[in-house]
Amino acid sequence: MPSTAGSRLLENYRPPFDATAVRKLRESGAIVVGRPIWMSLVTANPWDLSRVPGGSSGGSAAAVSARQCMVALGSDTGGSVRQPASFCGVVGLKPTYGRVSRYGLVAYASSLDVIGCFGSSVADAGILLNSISGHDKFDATSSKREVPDYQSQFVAIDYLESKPLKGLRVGVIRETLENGVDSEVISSVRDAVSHLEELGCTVTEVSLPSFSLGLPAYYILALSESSSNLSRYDGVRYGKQVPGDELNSLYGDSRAQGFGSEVKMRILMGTYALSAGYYDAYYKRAQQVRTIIRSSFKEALDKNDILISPAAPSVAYKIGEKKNDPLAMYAGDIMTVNVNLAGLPALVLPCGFVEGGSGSLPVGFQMIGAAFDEANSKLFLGCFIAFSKCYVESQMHYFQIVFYVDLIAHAFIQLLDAPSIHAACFLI
Amino acid sequence: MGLPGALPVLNSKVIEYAVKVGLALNCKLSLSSKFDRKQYFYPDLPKGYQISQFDIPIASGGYLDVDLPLEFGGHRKFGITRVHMEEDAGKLLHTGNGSFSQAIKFSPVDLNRAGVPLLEIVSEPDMRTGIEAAEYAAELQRLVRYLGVSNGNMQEGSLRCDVNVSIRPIGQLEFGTKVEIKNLNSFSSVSRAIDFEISRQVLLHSQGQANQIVQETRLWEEGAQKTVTMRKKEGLADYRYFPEPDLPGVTLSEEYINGIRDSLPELPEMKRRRYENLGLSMQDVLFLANDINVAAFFDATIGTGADVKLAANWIMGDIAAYMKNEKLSVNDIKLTPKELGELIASIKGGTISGKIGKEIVDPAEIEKIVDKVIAANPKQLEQYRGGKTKLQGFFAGQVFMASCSELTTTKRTVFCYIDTELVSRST
Repeated sequence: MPSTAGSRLLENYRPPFDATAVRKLRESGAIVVGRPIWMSLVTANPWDLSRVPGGSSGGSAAAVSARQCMVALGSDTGGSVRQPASFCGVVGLKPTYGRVSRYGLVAYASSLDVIGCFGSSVADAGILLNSISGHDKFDATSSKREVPDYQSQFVAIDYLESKPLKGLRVGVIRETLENGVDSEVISSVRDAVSHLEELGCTVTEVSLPSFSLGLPAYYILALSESSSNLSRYDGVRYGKQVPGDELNSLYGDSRAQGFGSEVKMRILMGTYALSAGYYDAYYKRAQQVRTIIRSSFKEALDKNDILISPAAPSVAYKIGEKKNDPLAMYAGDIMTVNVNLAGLPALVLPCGFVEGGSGSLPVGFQMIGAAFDEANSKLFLGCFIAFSKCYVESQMHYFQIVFYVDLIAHAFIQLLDAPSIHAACFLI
Repeated sequence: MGLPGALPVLNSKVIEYAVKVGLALNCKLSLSSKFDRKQYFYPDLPKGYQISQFDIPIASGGYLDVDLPLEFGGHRKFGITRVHMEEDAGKLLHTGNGSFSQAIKFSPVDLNRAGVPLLEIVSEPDMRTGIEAAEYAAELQRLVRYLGVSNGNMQEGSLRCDVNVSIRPIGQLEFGTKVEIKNLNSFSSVSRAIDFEISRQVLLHSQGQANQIVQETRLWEEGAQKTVTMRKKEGLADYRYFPEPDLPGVTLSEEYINGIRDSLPELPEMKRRRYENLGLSMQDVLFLANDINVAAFFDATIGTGADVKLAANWIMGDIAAYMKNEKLSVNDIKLTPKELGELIASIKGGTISGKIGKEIVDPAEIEKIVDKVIAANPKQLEQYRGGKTKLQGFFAGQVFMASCSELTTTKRTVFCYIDTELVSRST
């Protein structure tokens, strides 16, 4: 299958091997439908085609949201699964760093990248996670920890008592519901939190003073690592080569023409941060901040089972809106990057809607767990489907307008493959 | 190849070898070390970076004992700055005039060895002449062969050598500008290149042009026997080192280190000292201790009680010649140390033509071998006929080496057989 990572530089590149996650999926019988182009300008948010689906795995999120497939894989380095999940109103799961092998994943930032799952239900995302998780000898950073059976954790709604989440300690991160976040996003998340309380959780407010340090630290580390990981794309061994009379022009022209401007900017910044004389001030400093963030999360998760925040400070914005303001675009990652810095698992679920533009736009909220504690957050979310009913109903409305014909076909397929709440709803 | 999505995996053998070498070089081991990326662009470097160890090498601060020929200094100790692990790059094959096409000049890149683990051993700037450096390199080769971590063949590229040379006026504490020399393919080129470079720099100094000695990389040209500028270094390259995120750190436990330490063989230096104490000459000592297998053969032979000097002579003389002729290693020849020991004892004791044994198994076999040996050594047969009866031992040895383990008869019987044959043929 052609694999271009949305880049001209990998034009016509066909990888000679399967990524471990994909190989595991094939071995467990999955049907691979396609491969959404990463970061493409063509993909739009199914809820409002003039808006972005989120990035960078927006294509996968949009595909699941538009019911073109049941589940999808994406990669999450700083929120690139969770943010599009929030924007597209689907479930987005980021596993603990090392839970899923990175072998075969086009590397962006090696110490931050994970392969994540999209699904239209938590159960589906969980099934997907189960099949791709596990130690891989080809990835020295993959964990040898045993993979629990995530599916056995799911409990159908009917079997739950009235306060099924009794005893679960939920910590709401204060710094994520303050300035800089859309008021409607905040109220959506707060509604979700009240509902959790109704279901029996003990909710407290948690303060993580170092929270805002994560964004600059993340960008320094991610750009540094990715500038290095992108060095291999030089047009010499594979991909598009622009021939030159001598070595430097071959390198220079191939990369100049093969990389888009955003990527070039990131490579320049990352190279700068690693340069002699700057390493201590930037890269080393950022690693120290990372340690602070990691320990602050650990401390908070010793006292709470789950930490909660919005998945993004806003709903999906218009295509082109942030084009000339990269810093504003980066600022949108504030909710998600700390989780990557700490290597923790997180789950994003739709929790409400905001009126905007031509219709409603989904809001997602994020649940962060302790390392390798995916099962805990899943159990928690199995219950959440009850809450999501209102969300499902408005989804139905949407699909009647836009995808009427596909609706029946997809409902059929879903019923055959795996029972999920949405399939049941479609048949109603 | 540096394909998208490919990840490096650490080969645990390289850690074992690094610890072995570090211990053998009397280094301090880092119980906790890591890998770093050394970043630069070159066609033989597929990822655009090399995985190496920058600031925390696995071993550092050691020394190597070298026995130089007496006229060059005798016994010397050279410091070892560090030993670190890294991955190899590919190989550029410069074909000169592009045999595939006249119009386009290109160099193919061979990526087969890219990613193969290497150990880089850096010495302190302790050597003062080309011969010292060459002997140091030869001793390192001996060491890695002893340890079994490499075959150390420079021709195959299993052992590669770059040198840095600088000079300074007598009395100056600060080192002069150093010049790197590459393309050294043998120990003798190491020696000659260094001596050339020293005289080149001295000449510039003496002409008042010391400022023409710049930090650069020069190539040794074997044909012209001189160093030439390869590329001028524009200051120090910025490799933008940072810790390798795809590989976990390396943690060594005391247990692991002790296990390896216990498994180290007797190193060349120790062996040489022991052989010296046995009364052997330096020439003998150097020969016998050069190859760990030859030394083992020698040790086993004298272990049977054989005379030390005679054993040394046999091994350095006839056996070495036989091995060279037949292109066999000491482990391949059929003669065992025990048998050599007996042979030596027999010759010493003069019992060669001793009692005839009662049992002879397959005399035809022996006869064939004896015939072959006698036919292959007409010179010695002449000498024997001429009265050099001691050559009996020589013939016996040759027969033994060719066939000993196949014979089921007793040694005395064989001797006797040879004895009779030789006697019969000289009449």
